[in-house]
Amino acid sequence: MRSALILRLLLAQVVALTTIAVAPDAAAAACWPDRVNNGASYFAGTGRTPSAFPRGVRSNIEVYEPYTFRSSEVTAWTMLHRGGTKWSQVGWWQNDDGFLNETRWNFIQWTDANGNYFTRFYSPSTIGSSPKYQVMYDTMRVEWSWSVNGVILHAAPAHWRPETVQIQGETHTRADQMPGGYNARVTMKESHFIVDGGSTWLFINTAAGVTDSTIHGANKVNAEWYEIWDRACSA
Amino acid sequence: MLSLKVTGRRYTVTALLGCVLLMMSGPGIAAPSQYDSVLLTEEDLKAHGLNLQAVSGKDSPAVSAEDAAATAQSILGIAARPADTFRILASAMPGLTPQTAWLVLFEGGALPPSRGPAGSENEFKPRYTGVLIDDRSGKLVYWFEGGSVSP
Repeated sequence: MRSALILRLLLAQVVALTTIAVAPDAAAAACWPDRVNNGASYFAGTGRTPSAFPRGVRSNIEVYEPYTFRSSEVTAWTMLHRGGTKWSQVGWWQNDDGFLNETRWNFIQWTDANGNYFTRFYSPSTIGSSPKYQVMYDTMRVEWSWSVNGVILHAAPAHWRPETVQIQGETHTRADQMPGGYNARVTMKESHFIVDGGSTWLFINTAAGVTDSTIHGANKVNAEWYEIWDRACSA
Repeated sequence: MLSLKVTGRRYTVTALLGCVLLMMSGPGIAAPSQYDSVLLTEEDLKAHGLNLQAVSGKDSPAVSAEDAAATAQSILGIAARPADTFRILASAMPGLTPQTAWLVLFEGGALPPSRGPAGSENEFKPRYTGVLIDDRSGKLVYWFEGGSVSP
């Protein structure tokens, strides 16, 4: 009798520990989307190819703490680019170390014309804040510069000229949460671009879009305000 | 200065160069006078926007190269030994006065935070990870990565 009771207690502990081990840590994530990992990249936001070469893009992107699958990462950023391997961007980044420990940074990333990429990491912005993430292409100095809230993080030589602007949230598996929930959408306000020879920042004013509309959402609130979210999450 | 920590990132370290070059100007320690990393050349550093300046004549570092390397490993959350360690002059951000720092270099790294523009499908080969440690305070200035990208 006594040994049966001990066995039941031990089994109860094993069940409890097993349950704790497989459930996501709710305190560390806004929402667990409960989707299978597939290792594919997903985007939500907007982009535009202006009629004149762009020389700058900016947006006040809300810093969010999404659920990040093991060893994956979630980002949100502004970007100038010229096709698949030529881009220059700044944004926030959240990474999982493989043990459900999340670390966050602001980051910049760019490529040259020879197939090399460069990434730098800086202290993160506060969750819930909406810093202005801005990328500039200086046509005279032929140089990139990246800033957060007007503070220039870095400047480096540019080796190609941008044609397109993008403002996106990005995940690297279906199992990640796209930043935001349908009742707490991540905002991208004051989304503007400026063209070569222009002196005025212009509204992006293009349609919002997502890679997979069955799991993510994106909405254009007005010409300069966008929002993105994960359909599996309310907050 | 930053004192934040990255823990446990995946790394695709493929091999160690097996050679740690130290440039220290403390008493009793040999001091190579030139930056000559094979992993990350001076041209590579310029592409990163990091233009080297001479450190000769600067005060001796308060932090040793070994301690800087240990800090770098802790920040990155890795156990791999550095491929190279050099003392350089660097600015944390444009416009700031250059400061002496330890540049700790590791071969390889994790995949970059972003895979590029929406709609692109790129392949990445991380080649190096660098960490700049203030040689007076021992704190992180910034860290960086790089490699090759192809469609």
